[in-house]
Amino acid sequence: MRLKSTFWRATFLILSAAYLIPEAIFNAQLVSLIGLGTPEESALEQLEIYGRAISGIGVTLLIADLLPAKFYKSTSKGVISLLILAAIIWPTVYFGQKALVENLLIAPSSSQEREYAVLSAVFRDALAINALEVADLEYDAQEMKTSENLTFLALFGGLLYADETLADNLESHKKDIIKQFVQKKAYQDFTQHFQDYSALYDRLSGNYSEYAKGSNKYNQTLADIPNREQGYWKNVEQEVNQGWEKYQQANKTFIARAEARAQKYGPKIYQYHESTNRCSEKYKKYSQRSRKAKCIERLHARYKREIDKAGLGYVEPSYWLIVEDVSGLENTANTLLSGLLTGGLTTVMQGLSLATGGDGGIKDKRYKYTDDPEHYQLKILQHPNFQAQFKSETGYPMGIQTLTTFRTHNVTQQRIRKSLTEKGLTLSKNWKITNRNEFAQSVANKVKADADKQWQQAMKKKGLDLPINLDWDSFQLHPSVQKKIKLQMGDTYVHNIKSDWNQANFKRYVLDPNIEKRTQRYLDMIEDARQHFEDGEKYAEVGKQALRSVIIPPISMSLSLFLICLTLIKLPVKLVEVIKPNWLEGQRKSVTFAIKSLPPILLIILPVMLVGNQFTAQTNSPVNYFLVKVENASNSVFSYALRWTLHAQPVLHPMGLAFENKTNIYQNTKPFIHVLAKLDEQLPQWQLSNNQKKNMKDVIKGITRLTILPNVENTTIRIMNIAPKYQSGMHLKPGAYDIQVSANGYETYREWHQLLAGEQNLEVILH
Amino acid sequence: MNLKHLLTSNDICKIFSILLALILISSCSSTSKQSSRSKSTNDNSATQQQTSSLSKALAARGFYKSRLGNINYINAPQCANYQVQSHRGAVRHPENSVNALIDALDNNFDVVEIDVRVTRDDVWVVHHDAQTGRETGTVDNKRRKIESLRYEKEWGYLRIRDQNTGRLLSTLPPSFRQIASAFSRNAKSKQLLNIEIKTKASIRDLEMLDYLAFKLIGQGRYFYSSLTLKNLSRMRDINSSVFLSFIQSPANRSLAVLRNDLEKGAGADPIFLRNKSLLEDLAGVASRRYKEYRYDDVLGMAKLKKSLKNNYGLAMDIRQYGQRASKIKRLVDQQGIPIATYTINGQAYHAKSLLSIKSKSRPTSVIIDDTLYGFCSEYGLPEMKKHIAISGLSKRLTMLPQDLDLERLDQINLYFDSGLYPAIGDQLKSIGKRITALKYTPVILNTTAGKKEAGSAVNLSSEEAIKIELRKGSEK
Repeated sequence: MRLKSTFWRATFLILSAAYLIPEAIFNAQLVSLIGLGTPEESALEQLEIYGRAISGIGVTLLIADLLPAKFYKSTSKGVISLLILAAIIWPTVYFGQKALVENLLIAPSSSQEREYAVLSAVFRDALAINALEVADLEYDAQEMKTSENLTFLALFGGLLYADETLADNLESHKKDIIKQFVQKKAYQDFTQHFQDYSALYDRLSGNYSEYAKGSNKYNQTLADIPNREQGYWKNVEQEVNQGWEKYQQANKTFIARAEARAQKYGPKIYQYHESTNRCSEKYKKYSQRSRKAKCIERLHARYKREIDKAGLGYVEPSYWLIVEDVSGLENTANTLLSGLLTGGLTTVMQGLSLATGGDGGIKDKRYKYTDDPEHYQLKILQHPNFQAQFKSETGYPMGIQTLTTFRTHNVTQQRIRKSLTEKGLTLSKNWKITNRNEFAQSVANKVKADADKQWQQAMKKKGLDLPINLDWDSFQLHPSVQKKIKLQMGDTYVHNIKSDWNQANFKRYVLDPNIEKRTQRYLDMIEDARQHFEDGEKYAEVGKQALRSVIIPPISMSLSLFLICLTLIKLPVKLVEVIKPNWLEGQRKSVTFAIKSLPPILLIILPVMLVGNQFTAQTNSPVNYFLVKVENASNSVFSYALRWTLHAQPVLHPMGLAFENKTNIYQNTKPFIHVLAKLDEQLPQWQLSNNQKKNMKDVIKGITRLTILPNVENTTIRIMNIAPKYQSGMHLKPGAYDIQVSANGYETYREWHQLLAGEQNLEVILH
Repeated sequence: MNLKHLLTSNDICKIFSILLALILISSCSSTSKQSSRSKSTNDNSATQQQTSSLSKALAARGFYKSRLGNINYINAPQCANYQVQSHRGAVRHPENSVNALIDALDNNFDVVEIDVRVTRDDVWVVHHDAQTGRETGTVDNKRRKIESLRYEKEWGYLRIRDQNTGRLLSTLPPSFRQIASAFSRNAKSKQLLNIEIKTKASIRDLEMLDYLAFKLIGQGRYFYSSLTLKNLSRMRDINSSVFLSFIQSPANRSLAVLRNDLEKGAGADPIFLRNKSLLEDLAGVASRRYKEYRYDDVLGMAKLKKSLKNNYGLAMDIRQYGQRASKIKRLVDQQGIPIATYTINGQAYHAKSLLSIKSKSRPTSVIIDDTLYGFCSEYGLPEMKKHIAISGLSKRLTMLPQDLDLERLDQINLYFDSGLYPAIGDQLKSIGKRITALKYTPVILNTTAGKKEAGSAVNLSSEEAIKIELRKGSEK
C-alpha cells in the first residue's frame, strides 16, 4: 500500500496529538460531573454537546487517516478531501450519536426501564452524598473527588440499572434511602437555600414599604376629606357667584337693548298714535268712516312693518298704551281732566278703540299714549317675547334682585347639580344649596370611591388584592401575598410562610417540610407509578432524563476513553512512520498485522490486568456482582468494556483535568456550545410533526403560545395582569399570568398560572 | 258744569267723615311717634355702635369707609407709584356726572378725567358721546347731536342715564362750568382735573374753556388731554404753562376686540359700552380704513415736541405700551415726559396687562375704570393691626385674611358660615376652618418592614447512612 506523503503523515500525527487534548478534557469533565451525582441540566447540556462535537472531530481524524494516499496527492487535494470528509463525518457523528441514543435507547425504553433509571439515579446520588452505604463497597464518600471514586460513581448508575431485580431488592429501604438522600442533599446546600430564602425578605420588605406608603396615602386622602369638601364647596359658591355676576351683566345688556329699542321705536309708536288720532279727528263723520278706516289701516301697515324689526314679533299697538281704571261715572270728565294735567300723555281717541277692536273697555278704562322713553323701555322689558329671550339666553327669569335669591333659585340648584354630576358627585334631586350636609357626604363618598379605585388599580397592577392598614405580619400572611410568594417559590412554598424567619425557623418551617414533600414525590414516582412513565404520562420525561443520566455516561466515557487510548497508542507508530515510512517493509504480512494489532490488544487487556481498583478488588464485591448482571443482561463485551473503563479511567482522569487547568478549553467553549445546541435542535425534527417543530422553536426562542380551551362556548377570556387582549395562540413571555374566564350562567374562573415556554393549552372547566 | 251739582249732600257727609278720620289717625300716629321715639333712639344708638365697631375693624386693616361709602386707604395707597386717574369719574355713578366727579374725589383719586364738548351756542358741556342716546337721553326721546344743539333752548331736554338700569335720571348732564365749580368745592389740594377735549374746537372756544377752568379751578389744578393734536397745540398757544396730554388713538387690534365683543354681546359690561362710541368717533373705523398713528417712537416724540413745546405727556393704549414697555419707557424718560395708559377693552384687561409689566417699565399714570381700592389692592395691602371686635360683622372682619375684598362686605355674612370669604380678584376663598362634621382618623403605618429574626444556630445533622446489600439474597 502506498503511504501518504511525509507532510500528511506529519500533519495527521500533529492533529491526532492535538485532538487528544480536548478529548481528554471531555473525558475528565464527564467523570467529574457525573461522578458527583445527577448534574444540573445546563451543565449536562454543555457536557453532552461538547463531547459529541469533539468525538465528531476524533472520528473524522481517524477516518481521514485511513483514507488511501491518493486522496492526499497534493496539499490542496488533501485539504479538500479533509474538508469534504469533515463535512460528511462530523455531522454524522455529532447528530448520529444523539439519534442513536435517542432512537435506540431512550425513545423505545419501557416504563419499567424508566422507573429503574430513576431509582438507579437516586441511589447513585444517594451514594454520592453518603446517604447510602453499600455493603462491601469500598466507596469512601469523604473522598468522593478521587478519580477512582468519580469514575465508579459515573458508572454506578449504569451498573444499578442493569440489575432488573434492583427494585425488589431494595424495596424495604427505598423510603429511608430517599428520605436520607433528600435530607442530606438539602442540608448540604443549606447555606444556599437560606440565602435564596433571604432574598424573599428583601423583595417582600421592599414591597411592604411601597404598600405602607400607599396605605398611608389612602388614609391621608380620607383624612383630608373635610378640606376636599371645602374645596368643592368653594368651587360651587364661586360658580354661583360668577353666575350671579353674569346674570347681572345679562340684565344690564337686556336693559340696554330695551333702552335702545325704546329710543328707536318709541318715537315711531308715538307718531303712530298721533297719526291715528289725527285720522279719527279728520274723518269724524259717519259718512267718512271708510276713509277713516283706510287711513288707520295704512298707518297700521306702516306700524307693523316697523315694529317687526324690533325683534319682538308683532306687537299690538294697544300694548304700548297706558291703561288706567276709571269709574264709569267719572269716565268722560276725568279723561278730559287727566289729558290736561299729565301734559305728555294724550288720551287715545275712540277711533283707535274702534280700529283695534270694540269699545268694551272705553267706559271704565282710560287709554293714553306717551312719548316718554322710559315707558317704552319698561314695556319692552315687560314684553313676554323679550322676557323669553332673556330666559333662553340666561336660563333665568328677569327680575332676580339679590345674590341670596339667585343662589337659592331652582335653576341655580339644577345647574350646580349638573356641574357636580359631571365632576362625579351625586346629589339627590331635591338637594338644595342650603343642604351642606348631603353635599359633604357626597364628596366624602366620591373621595373614598376614588381612593378605593386608585387603591384597587395599584393592587391590580401589582397582581395583589390587599386591604389597607395591614401591618408587616398581616401583610406577609395575607392570602394574596402568600399566593404571590407561592408563585415565586413554586414547589418549595409552604403554607403561611414568613420571610423574616431565622435559620432555625427556616429549617423547621420551610426546609424540613420540603424535604418531606420531596421525599414523597420521589416515592410517588417510584411506588406504584410505573404506568406514569409511559410516553405522554407525567413522569415520562423525568424517566427519560434519568435514563440518559444513567446510561449515557458509561457509554460516553467508555467510547471517549477508548478513542483516547487508541489515538495515544497509535501515536508512536505514526511517529515512526513519519521518520521512517517503510519500517515494516519487507516484513511478512502476519508480522506486520501482529505489530499493528498488538497495541490495541494490549490496550484492551493491560488496564484490567495491571491497574488495581478498589471496587473490583474483591471477587464478590457488589461491583463485580453488577458486572455479572450486566453481562447477563447484555453481553460480556459490554460488561468487559465497563470493567475496562472502571480500571483505565482513573488513570487518565488526572491528565484531562491537567489539560483543562492549563488550557481552559472546556470553559472557553461555553458560549459556542449553546449555538451548537440550537443546531442540535435540527436533529429531532426528522421525527417531529409540524406542531412539535413549532413548539421546539418557541421553546428555544423563549416564547409561550397560549391557547385557553374552556368547556363552554361564548366565553370572555381576559388576562388580568397584562394590557393586550387575549387571542387564541397569543404569544407571551414565559411567566405568571392571572387568567379569568367568564360566561353567562357560569361561575367566573380566575386563577394564576405559571406558563412555561412553548405551546401551552390550558383547559378551563366552568361550573 | 258746576261742582256743586256733581256732589250730593250725602257725598259731602262722606268727605267730612273721611277728613275727621284722617285727623284722628294723624293725632294717633303722633302719639305713637312719641312712644316709639325712645325705641328709635335705642336703635340708633345700636346702629351707631355697630358703625363705630366696623370703622375700627376697617381701620385695623388700614382703611376707612368714606362718607360716600368708598373704601379708602388711611395712608397713601401702595399702588406701584402710579398716578391713578378716574376715567369719566367714579364707576359707581353715571359717567361724566357731578356725582361721579364728587365720588371719585371722595375716593381719593389723584386725577379725575372728564370729557368736554362745545354746543352750537358755544357753551362747554360735559359729554363723552357725540350725541345723546347711550350716555344721556332726552325726555322727548329725540336724538340730539351735542355740537348741533343750542344749550339755552335744548339742554333742558337732556337727562343723565343710569348705565346699570338704563333709566333716565332726573338730573341734567352738567355744563363744564358746573363740573368745574363742583371740582373746586370738593377736590383736595393735590387732586387734579383732566379735561379731555372731544370737540375739534375753535381757538375762541378753547380760550373760553381755559378761561373758565382758570377762573373756577385755578392754575395748576387742571390739565387738558385730547385725541386731536390740533386742540392741544392751539391750547398751548392760549396757555403756555398748562400740562397737555396727547392721547394716541387705540391699537387696531383693540378696536377689533371691542367690535367683536360688542357684536358678540359681551358688551354687556357697561364699561365696554362706554367705548362703543369710540368706534364711531375714530375716523375710518366704520369703513375699516382706520390707521394707527403712533407717537411712541423717536419721530412721534419729535412731532409732539414741535406741537406742544413743553409740559406735555402721552397717553396710550395699554396694548401698544405692553408690547414694548421697556423701550417706550426708556424713550419717554429720556424726553422727560410722563406716560399714561388706558384701554378700550375693559378694566380687567388693563389691570392684567399692567401687572405683567416689570416695575421699572411701568407707566407714570393709569386711566382706570375701577375704584381706587379695586385697582390698587392688587399691588399690595396695608399691614393688618391687631384688633378685637366682640360681635357681628366687625368680629368677622378681624378674623378674615388680608385679601378680603372690602368692597364686598355685604357678602361676608352670606359666605362666612360656609367657611368662605370674598377675596380680592372676584374670588371666593376658604377661611380654613373645618365646616363639616366628617371625621376620619387615619392609620399611619410604619413604612419599614419588621426586622428579620435574629440569626440562630441550626442543627443540620442527619441520621447515619442507610446500609444496604445490593447483591440479591445476601442483604446484611
